[in-house]
Amino acid sequence: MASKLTRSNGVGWAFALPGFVLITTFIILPFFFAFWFSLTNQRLISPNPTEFIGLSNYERLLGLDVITLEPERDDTGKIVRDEDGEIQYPRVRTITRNPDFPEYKGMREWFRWQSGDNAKVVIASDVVFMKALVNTLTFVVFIVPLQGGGALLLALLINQRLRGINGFRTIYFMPVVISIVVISLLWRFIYDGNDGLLNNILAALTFGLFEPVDWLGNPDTALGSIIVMSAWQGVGLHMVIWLSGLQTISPTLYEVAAIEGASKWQTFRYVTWPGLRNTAILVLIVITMQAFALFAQIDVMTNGGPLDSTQTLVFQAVERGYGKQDISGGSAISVILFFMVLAISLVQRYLTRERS
Amino acid sequence: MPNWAWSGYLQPLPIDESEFDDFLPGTKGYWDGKLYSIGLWDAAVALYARESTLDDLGLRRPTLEKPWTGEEFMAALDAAKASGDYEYAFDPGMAWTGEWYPYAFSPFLQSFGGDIVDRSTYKTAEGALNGEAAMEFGEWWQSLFQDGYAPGTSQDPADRDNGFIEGKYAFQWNGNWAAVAALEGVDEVVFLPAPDFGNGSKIGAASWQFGISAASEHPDGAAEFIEFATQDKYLAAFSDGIGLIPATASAAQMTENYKDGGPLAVFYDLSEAQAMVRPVSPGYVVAAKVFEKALADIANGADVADTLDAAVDEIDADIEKNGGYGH
Amino acid sequence: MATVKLKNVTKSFGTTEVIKGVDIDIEDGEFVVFVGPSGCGKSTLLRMISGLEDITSGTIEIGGVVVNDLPPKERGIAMVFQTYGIFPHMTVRENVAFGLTINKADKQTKEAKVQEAARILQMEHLLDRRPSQLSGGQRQRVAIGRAIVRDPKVFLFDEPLSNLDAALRMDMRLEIGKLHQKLAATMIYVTHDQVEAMTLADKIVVLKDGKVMQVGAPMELYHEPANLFVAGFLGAPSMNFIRVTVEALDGGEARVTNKALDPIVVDTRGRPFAVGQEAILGVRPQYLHPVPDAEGKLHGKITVTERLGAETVVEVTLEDGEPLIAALSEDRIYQSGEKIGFDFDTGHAQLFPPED
Ligand SMILES: Nc1ncnc2c1ncn2[C@@H]1O[C@H](COP(=O)(O)OP(=O)(O)OP(=O)(O)O)[C@@H](O)[C@H]1O
Ligand SMILES: [Mg+2]
Repeated sequence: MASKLTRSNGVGWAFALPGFVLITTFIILPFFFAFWFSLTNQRLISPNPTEFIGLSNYERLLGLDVITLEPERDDTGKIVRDEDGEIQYPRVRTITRNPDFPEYKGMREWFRWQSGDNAKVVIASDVVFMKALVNTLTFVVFIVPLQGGGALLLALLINQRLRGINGFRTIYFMPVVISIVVISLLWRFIYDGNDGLLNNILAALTFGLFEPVDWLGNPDTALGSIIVMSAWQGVGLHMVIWLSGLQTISPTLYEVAAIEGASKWQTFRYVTWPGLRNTAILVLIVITMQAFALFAQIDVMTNGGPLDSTQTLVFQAVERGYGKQDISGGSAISVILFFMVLAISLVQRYLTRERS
Repeated sequence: MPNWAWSGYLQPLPIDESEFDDFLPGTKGYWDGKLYSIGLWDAAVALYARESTLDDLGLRRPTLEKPWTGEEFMAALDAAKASGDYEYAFDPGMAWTGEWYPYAFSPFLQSFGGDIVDRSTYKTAEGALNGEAAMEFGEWWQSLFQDGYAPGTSQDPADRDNGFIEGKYAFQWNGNWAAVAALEGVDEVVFLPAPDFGNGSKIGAASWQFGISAASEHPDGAAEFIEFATQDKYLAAFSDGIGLIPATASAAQMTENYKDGGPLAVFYDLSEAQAMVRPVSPGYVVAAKVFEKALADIANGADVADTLDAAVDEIDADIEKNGGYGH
Repeated sequence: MATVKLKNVTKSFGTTEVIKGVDIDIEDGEFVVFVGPSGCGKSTLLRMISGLEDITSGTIEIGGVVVNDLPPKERGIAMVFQTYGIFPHMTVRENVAFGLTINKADKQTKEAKVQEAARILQMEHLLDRRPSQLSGGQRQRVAIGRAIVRDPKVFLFDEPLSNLDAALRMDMRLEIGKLHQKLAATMIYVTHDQVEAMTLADKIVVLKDGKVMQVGAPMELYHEPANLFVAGFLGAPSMNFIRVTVEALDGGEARVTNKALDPIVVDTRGRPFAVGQEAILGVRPQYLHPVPDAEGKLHGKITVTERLGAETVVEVTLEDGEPLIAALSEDRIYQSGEKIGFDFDTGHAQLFPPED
């Protein structure tokens, strides 16, 4: 006989069921699929049977080696230098494409440094993946303080009773409700190398002294431009989260601070910031997660270029899985990304744990 | 198409091939010696220019029989650049990412004597995409951007669409689908054949085509539809409707644009004379992506040899991973 | 230590006037309690003294200095709030030392002052706890500790005990009384608990609708309320108001009566009355004595009896149908509907002009 407890549990399960089904179908199952695919040679479409190939997808992504290049020497044994006095080295391809060194086959230079007269070259079997990895981490490292800090600043500014404050709130929040694709397109115009808005503004501010920069076309500025634009886009959302956090802080605490004569900074340091602790953890984790998923901006604005300066892990996962029909390769990237994000969240959880 | 045919999603057309004898080669999709798909139209690419540009710069008018050589082409770009009248001398269309790159730019590579893959075996790109001809192509390609002849990968798509019409670019590498708009915007527009970099002028061919799904329960019905649609009058109607090159000469005569003396007739001739299909291989899907990225990287200043090597490695690895793609 | 003087102080929020011209003189070391019904402006007045609200007009002096334009910190006040206002992320020690931290006091001073305050409040053993590990009373002690550490000239309390349960309230009330004796500081205390007011105050200020109704020592207010409001506000159960008719006036005395009341003579205390007019006779429930056989001056029937042990509160319907409450200082049993008569000392009765 059904007791009252199991009956009401039944209803509870019924309510939870749609969520369970959706999450299982679209998140949990795909995750296990991805995990499995990454160990096979699964293609998007192919008549060939899928084969288990162990970790070779990961090996291909993560393969790294360091080779030492000795300087070119002329007949007398003197080091050859070019006009600028730079030491000349043999090309890396003389090693990586040399049948005598099969272990370096298919690898490519990632970066190098000088050690004595020799050059140490880090070669990777998947330089694009390595760059995507570094770019993604760079993006995360910059976007977290930029977006989180900017959002907090805005939240502090608009957390006042002023005439028309709702107007500001709406304006700051607007980019969040506009599709990221639309925003990316608009920012392409802003960043345009010739007559983009940004170049025009900078030129106007410097009375024409400013040399126009091709923001998205220059490997040195492309990722930075995307970071700034992404921070701008997401800042409204996090502003709202901060704002809700600010409003949970008891006004009495501010009055206590006022009576003790705390300065603005002291009030922030002793009252506001500690009161935002849980909000800060939430914002930190949400921004980190979102940052690792960076894709749409890249897809619309740069396609990973120029010179891989804006490659990211998710963009590469999609590019390989669908663009190049290599589901297994894309899955391997996704799984690596999953473990990275997991590790980082665990570290964040640990660092921000409740100490008592 | 080869990718789908190889994967078993398509079946060969149950139609006698002789029915399509007079069709442009680019409209026929062969895989493994069998015809799998047929197109109602083809597309062609030409070098857009203004009569006045040629006159002002004192340039020889290239013809199908005697196109510009590579040197002539570069001399034309130099002259355009030196004139100071244009933002850029040449617009290859870097803003059109995706299939445009292999479709429009691999013919340059072929004209240099290279290719995306070695078409004799389709088993490797080694030598084709990183051989001497390809290196030469790469250096030339890079010089277009490093020396300021052409706008790079960050070109504004709007400029790609309107730049030539607005007079920002002296020459533009563009398809016949844009010709109608160019004719409207610039009445003195001329469509010139691709320059010859040593191995003949080449342009890409093949556009959208009809095929029959392998799972189709009524392939005969589908075939009948295809036969019906490929009648000259419908080929002509399609062309009139969307401006693309009709698949047969007889249909071309029935259209406004492509009949003898029609404003776009030159494209039919180009398609007939210079068209070369992209590599007919299931691996093309990947190779095209790799090629696109290599060209973008080279345009952005990457080392030519390293980039082409990397592209070869990636294409070869993919072919190997796919068991040779059935070649 | 300091005097506090309010001169014709007003406060408006927008167009609504909340404090309507208040004059109060507080002696050095005096314990003054503001009482009044909810919304009468007690907190507002206190916050104006503290500097948390600005003053619309009039002047406030603390220690002979007009403080209208001084920030809270420079007024030499400390404030304790109903909701404690202690920082959840700080230990008790840090909370108590908060003002010192803000003002960058050195470690020794800090520790010495915290220890001193903790000793006064007997909470040395709590210093290393966090607020979440404290009871309500202990939290309020921490808040008071923080106030003590400031060495203020004037302590301000805004209903410090309202969040505590009855037993704790009594303990804390005694503590605060002791604290006042120990520190001999001027204290202003807002409450609407009259027991607190009566027991703690040297002087009570009764407020209503932003105006002072009466100022005086607790017993003065209890025995000689200046008006109907004060009479009804202080004392529990509250004073009975009986509608009577003035039959005769003779010098400072009036003879009054009604259907349920035998004619009595009461002191008018200088208030103006006219013969034949209505007046209100105030008699505290404690002054009513039951007389056997329904004799006495007031006549009615028992409606409800509440036996509290040491006291019996009876509700009576007088012969004219009006209700009356009597508090008898012994345990008595009455039947509902039983006839009853009351006698009382007319010297303790107040006669007020009718409310308009
Ligand atoms: N910031 C404000 N803006 C507008 N009106 C206010 C504001 N603060 C208080 N008031 C009004 O002023 C009046 C007095 O408020 P106050 O808080 O001083 O009452 P109180 O006597 O302390 O009441 P309680 O016993 O309920 O605490 C109330 O009518 C209240 O609505
Ligand atoms: Mg209050």
